[in-house]
Amino acid sequence: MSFVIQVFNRSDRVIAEHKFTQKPVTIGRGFNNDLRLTDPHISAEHARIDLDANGQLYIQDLNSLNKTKDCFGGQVSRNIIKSGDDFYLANTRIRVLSLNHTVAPAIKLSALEPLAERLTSKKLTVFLFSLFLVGFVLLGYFNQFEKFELKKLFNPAVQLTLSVFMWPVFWSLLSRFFKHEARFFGHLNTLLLAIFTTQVISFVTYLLQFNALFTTAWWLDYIFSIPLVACTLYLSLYLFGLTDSRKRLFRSALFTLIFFTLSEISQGVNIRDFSPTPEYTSAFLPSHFLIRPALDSEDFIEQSESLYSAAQQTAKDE
Amino acid sequence: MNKLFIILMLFAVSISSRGQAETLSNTADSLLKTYQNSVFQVQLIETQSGKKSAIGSAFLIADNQVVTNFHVVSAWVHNPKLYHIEIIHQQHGIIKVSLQNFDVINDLAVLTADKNLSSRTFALADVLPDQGDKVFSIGNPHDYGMMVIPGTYNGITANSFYQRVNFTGSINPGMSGGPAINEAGHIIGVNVATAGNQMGFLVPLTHLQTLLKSTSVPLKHSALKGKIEQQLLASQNRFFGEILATQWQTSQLGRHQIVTELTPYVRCWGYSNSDKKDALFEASEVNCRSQEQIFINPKLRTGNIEIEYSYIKQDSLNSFQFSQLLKASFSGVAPGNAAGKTDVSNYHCQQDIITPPPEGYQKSLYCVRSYKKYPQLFDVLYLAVSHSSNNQDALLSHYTLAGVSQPNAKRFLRRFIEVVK
Repeated sequence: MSFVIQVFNRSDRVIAEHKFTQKPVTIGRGFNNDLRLTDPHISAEHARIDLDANGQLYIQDLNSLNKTKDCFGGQVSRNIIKSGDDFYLANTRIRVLSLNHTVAPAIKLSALEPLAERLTSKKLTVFLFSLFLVGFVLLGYFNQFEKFELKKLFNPAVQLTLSVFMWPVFWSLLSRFFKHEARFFGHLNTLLLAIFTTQVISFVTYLLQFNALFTTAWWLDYIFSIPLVACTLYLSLYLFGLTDSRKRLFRSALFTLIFFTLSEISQGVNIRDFSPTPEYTSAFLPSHFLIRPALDSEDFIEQSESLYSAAQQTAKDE
Repeated sequence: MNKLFIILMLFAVSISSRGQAETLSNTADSLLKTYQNSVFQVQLIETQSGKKSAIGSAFLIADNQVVTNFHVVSAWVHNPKLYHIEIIHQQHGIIKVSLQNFDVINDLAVLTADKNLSSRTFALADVLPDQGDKVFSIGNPHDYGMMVIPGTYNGITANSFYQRVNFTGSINPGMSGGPAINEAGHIIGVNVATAGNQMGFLVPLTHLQTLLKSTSVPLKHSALKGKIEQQLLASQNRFFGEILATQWQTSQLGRHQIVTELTPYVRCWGYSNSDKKDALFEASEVNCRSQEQIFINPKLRTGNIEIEYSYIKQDSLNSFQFSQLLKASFSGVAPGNAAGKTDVSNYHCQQDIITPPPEGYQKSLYCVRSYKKYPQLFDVLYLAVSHSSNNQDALLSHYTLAGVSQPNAKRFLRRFIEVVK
């Protein structure tokens, strides 16, 4: 009867897998063993796996110094093995499996994979990053009203580039740690695309504010930015190698929640309940961005009536 | 901030020439001797600690009736439970007094003692001095003791709504509420404020006469808040009644019609950036404000008005950069009066694109905050950008009104939008 022994490292990853047909199989640090383990805590002759009279696999400790234990910590003298059982030889975990042990069903290749392939392209990085720098300079040019000097943008551009690169570096290190594919450019491209989307969203918000559709629009940002952050994380987790789509969904939702909760708290800490100056948005664009019909000034005056009672009410409540 | 009326917080040094001092000191000396038992130091005693938290001066006007400034006893008016008011009599020592009446607009208060003070009372002058006449101010500056300060009567302050008398002489903190008298020893005003450098201010006699006429029974604690509100309401009605009754004089700024000195009390100043050669736009500003404020408590001043314009014409900016300039100009607007959390609500604002000048658009912001203790009064703030359709120039117009009623604020807003085009 053949069987398989898997050897695990301390972070529960399989580091070796051996298939045996002969029996008995001896395990130990000595060179004469069938399965040799180099952990210094393992005795030269540590344990043995064999068939008993009924054709049942069993494991026997060979009076080792640090003993053989089952997965519950019970000491093994001579134990019957069921396929998939774990044993500890000193600190080293092994698993014994029969050849017909059922494996987890295959995971369907994700629909995200073609997207991930395209995202990981270096050409795309070159394109997106050029776009990013050009956009940075253009925004710098249009968002000021003093004499424009390109050189003044150099230091901010370097700082921004470095901070943008923190994201793929972070994911690559994480992937190295978990022995996954790094997909550095995939993560970089994801972030750049997210930044572009943010820019578009903030322009739309600004356009709405310019048209005086909102006096204060704190919630408008959330409507767009929460899904954006969640999507970015979802994609990044896929690139990182989290293949289980349910886990991915759950974790991206969880991290998004944590992110926004923390940022809310950090903002909430700074909010003062009284401000001697009014809070309002100040958004201006060239006049052809005006998409809303103007209000009659008389209506503006009449509408202001409600402000007095609202102010009186807050004064009373406080 | 209103620099002129920093109420008795400035330190000024009195320097008078020697020859003048000699003749004056004779009169001053005899005046102080005559009235030494009729001028007192007023102390506001904080009940918990039993120590004084504010001092001022006061003078005897009837057997048991004493006059001082409202601001000296204002802490008591706002929190009668936390304080009590005392005066220090040269002979009788500390005497407890209670508030009988006050005039928050003209900064006067009438106190009454439990017993007859049996001192010589001051008489009110029948005739006001002429400009240049010698007058004397008595008080206890900085708690250094009762002093007589000689000075000159210089008439009513120019361009002033809440009128004051110019007293050319040193008035210092602690003298607030002390009497200003002529050589005959008759009251011609009440010490109230200083702008430093021999610029002292007195409350005119007429306001004291009016207050004394309406003083009869002591005020109940529960009536204090209502009385302040009623006086503020009446005052702003008179103020805005005058302003709204007149035809506003307009002038031109850029392509726009603006209104600047709507009353003589509102003074305007101008500025432009034409001296800045490297500026990419032209900006000219007109800032107008009324010089005076009403003191309600140390954190709340009211009763003033500010109007500001800024005309911006672009030279070599593109239309997006011009918009950024407008954005920067439009943000960070602040009220024209000081007010704290205990006094006012937060601002409530509305913002809209409203019917534009012939072409282009106008973006307007209107904000209102309510006075917590005086719910019929508001601070309002208006800010608008009239933007030409070719993105070439714009007018920013802005005003703040402090301590105004809803009907007056609304009438002012309508009038302002009509006139400023």
